[in-house]
Amino acid sequence: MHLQELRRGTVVLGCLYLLRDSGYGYGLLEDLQARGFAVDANTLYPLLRRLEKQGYLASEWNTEESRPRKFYRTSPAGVRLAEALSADWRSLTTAIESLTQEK
Amino acid sequence: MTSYTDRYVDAAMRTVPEDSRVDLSAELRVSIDDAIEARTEGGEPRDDAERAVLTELGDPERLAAGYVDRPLHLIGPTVYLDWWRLLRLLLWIAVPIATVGIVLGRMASGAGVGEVFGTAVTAILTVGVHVVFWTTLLFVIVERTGARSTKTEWSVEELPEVRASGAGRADLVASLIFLVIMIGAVVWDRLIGFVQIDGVAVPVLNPGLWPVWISVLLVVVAAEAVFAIMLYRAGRWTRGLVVVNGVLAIVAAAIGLGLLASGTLLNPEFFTAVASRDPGSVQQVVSVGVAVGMVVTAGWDIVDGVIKSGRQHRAAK
Repeated sequence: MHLQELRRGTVVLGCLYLLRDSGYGYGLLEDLQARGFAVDANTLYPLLRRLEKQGYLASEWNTEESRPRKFYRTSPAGVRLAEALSADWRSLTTAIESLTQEK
Repeated sequence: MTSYTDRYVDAAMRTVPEDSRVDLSAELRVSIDDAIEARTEGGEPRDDAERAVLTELGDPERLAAGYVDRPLHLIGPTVYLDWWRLLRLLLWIAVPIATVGIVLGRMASGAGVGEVFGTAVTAILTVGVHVVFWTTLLFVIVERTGARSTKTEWSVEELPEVRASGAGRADLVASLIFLVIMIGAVVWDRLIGFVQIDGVAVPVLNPGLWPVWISVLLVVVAAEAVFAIMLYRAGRWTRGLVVVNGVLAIVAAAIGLGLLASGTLLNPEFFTAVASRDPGSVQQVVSVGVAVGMVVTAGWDIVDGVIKSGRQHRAAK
């Protein structure tokens, strides 16, 4: 349960960064999993919708290929959020490192 | 037969609002197909791949709820405490009032004891269920329409006083209810009667007790009620309260025993009516039983007060 909570926060950051280049549902899922973010499809897809509704992602339908897909891209607001989250993450990493180094 | 994928997308979209349905269903279908394709390219048969992908996606309604940000609960943590406290308050107020009203109504229309009791039980259940249902419904609506903004701020003033056990609200309520029941029983006995011969009441208590001694009873009951309130206000058993409790118990028992001894407590007619063969000795036996009961009750009352105050003193040390 605690592991789940830890991961939930970091998936958002992962999405926002990866989607600076356009991506779609399943492709993003594979990308995240390949890079070591453990995430399920039924968490990721609603998350993309939520981030779009909150204005951190912009979407458009790509009808060029045989299968039309919905592509997401990080919006400027999303980029700002990603930077804020990263800054937080860095300070957390420093805090944890200082803890684990104290014997 | 529709494919599992079709059924899945259909089930998920059923609970999604019309305007986003086309967009969502297209996106979901593509994602499912992509996932199936990735598995079949690895050599898995299509049916197995489809089953695995859909199973991994899980309950379609749960997925849909995630898509539209619908809460999967009736009353959430924000308003839960408010709901619970209001419900408790309303139950304490509404159920007794409604029950008393209904019972009085039944008694006034001349129903027997059993029927009144049955009506009372029904009333309690009905009123209780209604209070719970409507309060819960209200809060479900509050939860669904922006509960986040109606969160009441808690302040330190809301903390209740610390009360020792035995001097709390429950004890006060129990004492008062008991006194009310006792008065009610006495009045009923005189007016309607627990035992009726040919529709006429045969009281258990001597009718000659009315009105003088019954007024004395009322005074004692009033004193007990005042004592119960004083105990609640004090919040704990002080030595003075123990003494007062003891005095009240002794006075009540003394009056009762005095009346019993002079033969004016119980109604002789009651015994002639009930035990026609030998009313005299039955009355004696019952008198002794009542006397013992009074002494035991008074003793218990006194000892209870002493024990509770003793327990408090030890706890306070």
